[in-house]
Amino acid sequence: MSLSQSIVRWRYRLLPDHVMGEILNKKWADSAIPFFALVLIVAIFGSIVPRFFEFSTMSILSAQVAELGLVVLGLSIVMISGGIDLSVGSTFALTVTTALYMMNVQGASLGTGLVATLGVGVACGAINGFLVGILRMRAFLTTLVTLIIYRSIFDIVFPKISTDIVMNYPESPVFEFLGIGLIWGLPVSFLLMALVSIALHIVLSRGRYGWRLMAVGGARRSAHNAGINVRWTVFSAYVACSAFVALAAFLFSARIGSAASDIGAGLELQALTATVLGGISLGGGRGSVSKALMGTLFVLMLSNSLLALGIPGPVNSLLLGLILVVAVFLDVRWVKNRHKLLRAVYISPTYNKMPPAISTDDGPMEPNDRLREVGVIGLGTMDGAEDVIFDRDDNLYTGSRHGDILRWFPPDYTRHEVFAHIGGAPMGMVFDAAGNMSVCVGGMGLYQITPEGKVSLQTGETNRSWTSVADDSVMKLADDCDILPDGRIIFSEATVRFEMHDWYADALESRGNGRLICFDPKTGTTKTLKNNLIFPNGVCTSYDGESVLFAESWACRISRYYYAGPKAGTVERVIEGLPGYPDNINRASDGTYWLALMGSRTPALDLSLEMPAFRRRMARRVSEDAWLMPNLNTGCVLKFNEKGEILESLWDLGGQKHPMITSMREHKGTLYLCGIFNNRMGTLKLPDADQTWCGLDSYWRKPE
Amino acid sequence: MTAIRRFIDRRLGRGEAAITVPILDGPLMPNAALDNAEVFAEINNVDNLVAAEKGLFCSSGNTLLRLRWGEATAEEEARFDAPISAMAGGKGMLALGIEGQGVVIRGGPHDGRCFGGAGETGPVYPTSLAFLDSNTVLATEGSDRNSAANWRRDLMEKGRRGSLWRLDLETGNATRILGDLAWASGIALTGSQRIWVAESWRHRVITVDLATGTSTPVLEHLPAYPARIAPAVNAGFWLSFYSVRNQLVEFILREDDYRQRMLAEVPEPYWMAPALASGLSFREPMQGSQLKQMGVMKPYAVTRSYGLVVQCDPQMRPLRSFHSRADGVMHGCVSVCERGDELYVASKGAGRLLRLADVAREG
Repeated sequence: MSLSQSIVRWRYRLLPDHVMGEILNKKWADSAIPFFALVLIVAIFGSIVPRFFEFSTMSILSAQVAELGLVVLGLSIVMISGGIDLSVGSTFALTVTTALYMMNVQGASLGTGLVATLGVGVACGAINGFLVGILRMRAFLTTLVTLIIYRSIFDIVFPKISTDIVMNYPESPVFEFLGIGLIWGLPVSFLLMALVSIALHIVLSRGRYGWRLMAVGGARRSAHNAGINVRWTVFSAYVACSAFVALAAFLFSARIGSAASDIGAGLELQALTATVLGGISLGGGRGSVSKALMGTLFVLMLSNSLLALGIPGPVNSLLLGLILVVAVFLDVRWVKNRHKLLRAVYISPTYNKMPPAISTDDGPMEPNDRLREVGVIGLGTMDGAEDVIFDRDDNLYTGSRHGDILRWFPPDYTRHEVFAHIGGAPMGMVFDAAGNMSVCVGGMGLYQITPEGKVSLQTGETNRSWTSVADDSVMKLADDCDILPDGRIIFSEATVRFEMHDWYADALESRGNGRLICFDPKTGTTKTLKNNLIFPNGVCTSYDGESVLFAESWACRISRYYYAGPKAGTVERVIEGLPGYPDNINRASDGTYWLALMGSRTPALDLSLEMPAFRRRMARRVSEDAWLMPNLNTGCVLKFNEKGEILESLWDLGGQKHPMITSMREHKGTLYLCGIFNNRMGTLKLPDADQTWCGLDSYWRKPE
Repeated sequence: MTAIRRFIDRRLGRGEAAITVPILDGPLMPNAALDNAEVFAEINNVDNLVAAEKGLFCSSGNTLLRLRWGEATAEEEARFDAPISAMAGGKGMLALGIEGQGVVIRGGPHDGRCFGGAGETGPVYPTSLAFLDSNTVLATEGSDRNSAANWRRDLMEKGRRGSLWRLDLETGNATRILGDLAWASGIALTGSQRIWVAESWRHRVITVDLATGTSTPVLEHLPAYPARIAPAVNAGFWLSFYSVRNQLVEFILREDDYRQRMLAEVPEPYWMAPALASGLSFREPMQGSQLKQMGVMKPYAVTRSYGLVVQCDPQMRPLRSFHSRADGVMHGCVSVCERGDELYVASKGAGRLLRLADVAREG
């Protein structure tokens, strides 16, 4: 191996580029832009504004953050639900008036004052919510109108009570403490806001309400179809928003203790800028508490710093408006192009130099046409039969692309029925001692079907690996399974990085993205046995009682995993350098194994496997239709023994009848051939094989 | 400035780095006409069709064959010690291009005249020939390094060493009219001093003024690599093609590391490069859409080999076309000739001589 090749190999071993795509796929990755904006503004103003980092400045800032932050959080809730609330400023004015009137003039206790303030806020929100959510009016216009209405009410009421407010003082010492008190050097209001933020964060990201809010904002109709009460959800968002505004108003009243006639004017601009700048999409369905708070900090630091620098108010507003325009522009571009960027970054091929292939020029792997003239089952009816299995009554079971398990009846297998409907993509199948079928379902996990056809989930999740960035506990592509003598089921998950329909992207990556998983039906536990396997595919329990054989497709090798015995937990190579891509492995009647090669290796692709950067650029630049892929149009079936020696091979050159053979199973002297993209199942008579052999007997012995 | 632009283009896949391929549309709308055509004869490596009084001449590797009109059996006329790579007929003569040995004249007053052989000037690897008059032959050479059969290598090496020659049969002088062509592969006359030359790797047909030696592109941005140009009775032309362009090939042409390693390490039949025929071996590369679904190869799959013959008007504007698509086999149609109302098409990739009855009259 040349030096440059070694460098490439180590570079891809040491720098895991795929993590980049996984990080960008994280929900919090969206926050990166507002975060850097925030860092930027701190860096800029921190250096030019005097006393920027001093305690007193920070203290005032934190109190302001508490008040504006609550308003922004409220607005965020509405915006996540797909709406907008322009009336926050007017609501703020009304609720501040209420709070001051209750506390100063009426001399109410803290509780009464708070309830009254929140009550007025909720009432304002309820009007918005009723108009937008229930009557389904346009949010923008409606809240623009309520902005004017609430402001007018304020303008009518405020002059009548303003003198009373100024002339009196609150009697509640707690109220005063709320305004000016410090705990651990921080304003009480700030701590209160922090508490509220944490609670809201949990609700939004973990709670049912948050999920519904996101769903409604993201896709209203889909949310409706999923059974979410859209109107009620939207209504509640406006109520929650105004309640948050009322809370902010209460804290503001406590801190300032009086009010002017322009209170809350322009607040909606400030809040809106903060929200959009934080990355809470105007289109709805996206947003988080942390984004809202970052936006708030940004806006406050900007306006405070401009104030400190002596820049007049109107200029301040002008700047804020300009920033809002930029933020809206970025938001639109980002939402529009995000998936493109992600797709481009996500696929990250790695170095995977293949060992030389076993020769197909002579020896047992020499091509022939033995699969050309084979019998056929279900021509034109079958669609996506990845695997096949037989019960003791000779019934044939196979999956279909529609998510059904079909049962075909002997002797000629011309009639069939839907044995069970699961959904997903049924793949490898196995029977346990009691005759229950376990089946791997792509996109769903491992399912069990009783002889009566009752479907139940066995497992859809395994333990999350410690080093994973993306959550890999949910199964994406359970592929083939087999059963151990004690009833545990070992199955392969081909890739944790791609959905099933993206399997070719995994081939392009050729990284160890797959794993071997064990499910114990007795305890119901699932455990990952082996990670970082390169598209693990076929799994077959060995005759030796202590190991399973498994195929790694894109690595073109067969390995053995010991589940018991002295070598328990270790992996051993059985066959390396196959000339094609191995798929399912199943037992043969003479104590050996059948292996399907779904396709053949091609020198042009093998070369590209040594050039990850070439494949990465190809993934970005070339249409998927034209990607260099494993040649899956010609494959074969081969037989190998426990030692890994290849005994014979059966080919269909040119893939005329059986391109991409994904599985095969021997049953009573006949070999049945499957292809996941084929429209048929092939049958090949094996005259030399045991004509009474049924796979089940080799696992569970013949019934007496 | 250009360097910066190039750098940006490479990042973003714009300008020269763009790998977009024009689609087959308009007069080039795909059909299955070549697959539906009558298979007139099965001749391995059939190429270089020339219609003469005595019958239809064609080549098969080293041998020159003749099919009497109306008969599908070929008689051997002559055998050479290298493959025949070009042929033209006229005035009772045949001009033959022999790989590595240049151009040889058979019959007529100049019988036996040679150009480009050992120690002579002239095209060594002729790709096409045409009689300008009874004493002059025009010849194209794909490259002075790669033989005509090595066109795939020349394409993947981004060859720019093609040339156009004037061969004087009386004096034996060979004059190079034009050089630096990206694989000149076809030639046709217009009756004036302007002639057509197909420049394959630049996907275009150019017109060359024989008097001044200046060239102008005429038919550009072709979605395929043009091969030879044959005259049509109605003063138009028949354009034949090696294969269609493929987005992945365009991409690899811009990926020098991979391209050079492929040329050096991968055996030629298994290159990811255009071909006259594909699907012959399971070691040939496969592209995404070529995967058979439900036992069927999609006709619109991307492909490395393709059959395409285009009829052009006298101004070299495409009028209509005949195709064999990804699911067909009549690929690599690099030579055509017209006789009466019939069009003969040599599918070199499939080793079939096709006859399309009554197509020459329409159009």
